[in-house]
Amino acid sequence: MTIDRRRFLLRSGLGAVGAFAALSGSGDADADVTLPVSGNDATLGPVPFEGRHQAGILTALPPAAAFLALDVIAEDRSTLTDLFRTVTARARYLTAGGVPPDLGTASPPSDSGTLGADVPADALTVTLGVSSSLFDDRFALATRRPIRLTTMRAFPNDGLNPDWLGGDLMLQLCAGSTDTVLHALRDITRHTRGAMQVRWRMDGFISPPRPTGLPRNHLGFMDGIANPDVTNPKIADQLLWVVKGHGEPAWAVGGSYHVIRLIRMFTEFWDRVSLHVQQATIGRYRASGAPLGMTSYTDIPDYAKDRHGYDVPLTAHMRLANPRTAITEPSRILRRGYNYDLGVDVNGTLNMGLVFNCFQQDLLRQFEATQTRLVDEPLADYIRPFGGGYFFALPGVRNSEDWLGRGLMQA
Amino acid sequence: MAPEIASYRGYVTQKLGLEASEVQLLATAIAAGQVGAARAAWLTAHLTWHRIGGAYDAFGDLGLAIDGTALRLQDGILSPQFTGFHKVELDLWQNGDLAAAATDTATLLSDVDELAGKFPHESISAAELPLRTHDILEDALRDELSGDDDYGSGTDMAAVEADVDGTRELLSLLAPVLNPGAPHLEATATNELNKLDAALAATRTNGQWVAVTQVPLAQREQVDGDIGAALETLDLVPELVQVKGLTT
Repeated sequence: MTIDRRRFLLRSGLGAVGAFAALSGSGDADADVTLPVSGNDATLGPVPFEGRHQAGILTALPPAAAFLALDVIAEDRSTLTDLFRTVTARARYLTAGGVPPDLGTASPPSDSGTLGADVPADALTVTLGVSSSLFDDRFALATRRPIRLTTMRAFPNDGLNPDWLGGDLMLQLCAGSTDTVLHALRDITRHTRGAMQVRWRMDGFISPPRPTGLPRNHLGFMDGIANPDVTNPKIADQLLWVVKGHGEPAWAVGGSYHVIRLIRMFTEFWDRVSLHVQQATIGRYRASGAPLGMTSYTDIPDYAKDRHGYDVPLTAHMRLANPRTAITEPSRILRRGYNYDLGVDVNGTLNMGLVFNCFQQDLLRQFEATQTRLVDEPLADYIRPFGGGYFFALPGVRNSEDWLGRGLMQA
Repeated sequence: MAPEIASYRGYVTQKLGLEASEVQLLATAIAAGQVGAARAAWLTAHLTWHRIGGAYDAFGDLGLAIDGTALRLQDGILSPQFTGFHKVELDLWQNGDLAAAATDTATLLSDVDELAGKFPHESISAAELPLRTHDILEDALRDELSGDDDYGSGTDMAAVEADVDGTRELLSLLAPVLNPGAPHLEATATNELNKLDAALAATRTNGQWVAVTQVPLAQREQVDGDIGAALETLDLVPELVQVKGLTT
């Protein structure tokens, strides 16, 4: 009886609500009761792995993520090639899901087992990027560096901590639930031991919309509201993807520059600031997400009319980040931010904040221009960027023979 | 708010004069090659800066030059922009470099003199004082009680004590404005600041200040909890003062 029930739980795809109902009705006096968990039913299907571009950029944001900066310790180019091929093979398998090989009871199992015997896809995406440090003299790749790939600079309000900077590679893992992300993380690191090491890692989550609209960050404000419409291929080719004719190496076409900034939020301090100041700092109403003076979070502020900043202050974060002028339009970026939550500091304050995560065609023209407009903004008092880096998300894997980094390694 | 602003200006102007003389004493001790005396003079002068309420970007770029840390500089402690008290602290405690300390103290003195000359003529917005009443300790919690701005002296707890002094000064200055709307706020905040002072004093060992990370957990928790409680009270000040058109 007990064994049957356990098997049922595994096969039901961990649908917690369903499992709870089944248990409640079993009439088994000593049954363990699993409390239902909402919005976490592990039934999300697969996101296609192959394509012109990697998944995890235009893909809808699932609630769980991990960002791993890795250093390549492989000694030569052929080992680096093997590394790219291995990451590709694991990503291909993990994003599709399936039953891992049974190696029998005498061997260490082929899979960690944390997702059960039949690994669900759960909307997992694996997005791999490279940083400028990969193009040093180790692998003789210097001539193939995407020409706009630089090292992240310190902006005036940053307090960068070397423990949270750098890395040759960036692995962005996103999925429907944390266990799926961690399963992928363990699988990929296991299969690449001796070739790369995790340098730093930050996990992220996205809250459900409360009550509706968009998810909120730790400051209580809806975040990531105003993204350019990159579902329009024409706009995507202007803002998101590296395209032909910009002086980039041919292999880089279809990739995208990836910026990650780890931003601590001083939430205790923020909570001690008046709602008026909070809203003036961001430029939106906290409750509705609407721009100040408007009614819905989808409303577009008219800064030409509000040119003195009576509604949205001229220094509001939203207004500085995206002034909505013809001149600043080409600097727009695609944001995919995740909240992070990392315990407490030595002084007992909560260590939480934002994994600012964005993709673009040109680091200087887009992220750096935007960030430069934000220097010394009022919000800077309540946040501190402390880590992250610049990466180049590789072009997609085109077919079953292709692998991530093939263009780079075989150019 | 005009009388309060005038009192504040008088308080800071007087303290900046004291600051300049104390930095001069620091320079003298360094010139005499007396490391022990120099360290003591450094602490005296640095605590005066905190009593001024120089925290939280109160004095713009000059304030950063006088008491900024290397945290926000691209080249960290190697940056030429890393100047002021914490640079001298690094020279005196970690590097044992009296020559560098002499040069850096000369820069510090010139920056303090410049500020002392400019400050009496700076405009002070009415919104500033009530915000600073909790900003000083917000700064203390973030930068000092985290140990982030300790460059070797291990005197962050003393700096927080001086921050409490600066906060008390602002609180008493604003009391006439606060009392009609919130008759108990000043007394509540004063009690909480007294408690915080007691917790800070308790961290001294044999009369010596101890670096934040070396303070036993139970004592640190008391300090962190007491500063948090005081801040939860002080954060009501800006609203009570009701400065119209207040923006950040």
